Amino acid sequence: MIGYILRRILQAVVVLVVVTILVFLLTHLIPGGEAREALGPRASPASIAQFNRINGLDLPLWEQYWQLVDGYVHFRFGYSFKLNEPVGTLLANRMPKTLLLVGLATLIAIIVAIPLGVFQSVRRNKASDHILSALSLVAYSMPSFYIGPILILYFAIDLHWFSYEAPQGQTVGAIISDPRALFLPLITLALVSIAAFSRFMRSSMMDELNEDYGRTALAKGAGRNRLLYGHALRNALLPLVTMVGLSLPNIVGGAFITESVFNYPGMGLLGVDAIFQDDVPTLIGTVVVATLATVIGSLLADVIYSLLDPRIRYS
Amino acid sequence: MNSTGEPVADVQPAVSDTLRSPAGGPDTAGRRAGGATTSANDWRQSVRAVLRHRLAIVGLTIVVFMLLLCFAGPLFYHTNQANAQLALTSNVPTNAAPSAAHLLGTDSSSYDELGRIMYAGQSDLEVALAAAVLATFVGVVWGAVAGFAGGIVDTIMMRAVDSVLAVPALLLLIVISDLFKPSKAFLILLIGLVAWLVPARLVRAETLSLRTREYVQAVRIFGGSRWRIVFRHIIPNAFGTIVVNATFQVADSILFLAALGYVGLGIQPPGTDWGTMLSTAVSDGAVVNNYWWLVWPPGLAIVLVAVSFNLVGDALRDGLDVRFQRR
Repeated sequence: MIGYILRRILQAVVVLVVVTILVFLLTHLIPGGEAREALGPRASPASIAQFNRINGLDLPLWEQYWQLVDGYVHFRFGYSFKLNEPVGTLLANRMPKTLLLVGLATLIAIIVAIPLGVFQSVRRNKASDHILSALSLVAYSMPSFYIGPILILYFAIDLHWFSYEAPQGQTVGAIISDPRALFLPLITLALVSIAAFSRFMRSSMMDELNEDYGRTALAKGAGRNRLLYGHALRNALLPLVTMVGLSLPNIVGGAFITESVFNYPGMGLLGVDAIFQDDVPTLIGTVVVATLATVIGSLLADVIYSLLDPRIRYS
Repeated sequence: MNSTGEPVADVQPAVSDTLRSPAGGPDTAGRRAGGATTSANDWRQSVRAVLRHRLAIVGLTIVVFMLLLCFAGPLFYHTNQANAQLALTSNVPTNAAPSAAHLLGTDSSSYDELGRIMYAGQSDLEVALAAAVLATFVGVVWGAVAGFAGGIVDTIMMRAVDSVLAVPALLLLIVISDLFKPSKAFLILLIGLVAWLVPARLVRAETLSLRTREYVQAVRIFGGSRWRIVFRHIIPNAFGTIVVNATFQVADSILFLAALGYVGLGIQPPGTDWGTMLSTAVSDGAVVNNYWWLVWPPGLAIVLVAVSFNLVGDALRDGLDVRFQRR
């Protein structure tokens, strides 16, 4: 198992290297180059040369790449000329809030999806199953920037149940202490995952209920509930861990959009604002950090899975 | 399964493939191992199953309706989608509520909203369908080659796929389109190139089970080349899996394009897409002023197309999977 975990970590490191190389190439392919991006289209050749010298852009490529990696390791992600602040500082402030949003939304999705999936597998092909399947299909196909404004319109503006805007607190603590404002962004982000996870749970439960051990358990006098919760659910939960890990990239991507819909002060909002303000260093820094976090999250899910699954433990 | 003999590889692809196919992964292999059915038979059977499936009919109807609306609609419902200053030049009101002259009202630039939906839909559907075809093509070739080659080639090719899957596709799309202000063709290429990973995994799993089949062995004994085996025998027999996944790819591509449009990186003016329309409406105050005709229709168009392609895909998959039908 340790061999597996080491291999898996190595794979994650390779991904990180590939991502940094990709980012490096992309920044070098910016039309006009980084200097023009920062100084504007009318900068003189002399000032461009000076910018390149100051920022090490006249060094050989491999040395520039090494600087980039060195910077990332020390949480330096370039400088936002639009916001006049190092991107690393901006991200250090925003990242915990996005982690909170993504973490809570994932947790909600898991908590809601498991009973939904079990219920559907028990009532399979009955009306309630079909209705829930149809609903999850719609939820799965619903962009968060569509469901978001709709929820705001009804639950915030018409009914006044929740706030129309995400919590604007500066710290994670301040955000958690405002659940009325946090609820709608969380639900919006969790909805797609609820749909995906419950579909997965349903089929995974149905597969388990079809296995021979279920019949054996029933024959030996186990009750229906014992079969469901004692045997099938335990086995069906296992692959859900991997499923959650695989869904992380989508959840993080969704967080970007959801944050901008609800004005949630996290990394996603920073990144989307950067798009509209043509702030390339901030956008790239945001995406790099989000990607690194996602890769590490997926790695964790796989490691947890290997700890839980005896088939891997004893190999 | 894989020459290094890791049990891990057996567990993981199965899970991710099940993302979309409740009976996918190892079962897909089992299903085909059981019968001597040809792919043509499979195919006819699944078409019949789709027609039996009422939800699939609904999905197909919506797909056809949206295609007709976007591509044939403008022939009957004439609107001016070329001039942006209609309010000044021809006295067309901005943000007007639906009326006989403008069935879905007008937007903040005085474009006729229904005409705009059709116009945007052409781009949306073109990009989504083309990207799905591209993603499927790349994924099929990649997966089939990896699965058939086996050994170290397979390991490297599939580890590459796993690696890229760990990167949030939407963020990758956002960065690249922000830097290069994509044209429609470039968007197709971009979306296609982030979406080929899942078909690659599915086809590889299918290939692994197909390549040990007697008829493939027979082709090899008769001297058929590797390419012949992959392209004439393995890919055609994985056709069902491929088509089902392509259907899902269309839905995904629509959502990707919509998200790009929402952050201002979709089809650029003078063109537009549904995500861009929704984004423009929200930022121009349509929600605050309750201009519902600017909020509901573009969003509904996105959801309708995505849902209908997902419905068709679901039904096709159920139809192809015998084990699943019997339940």
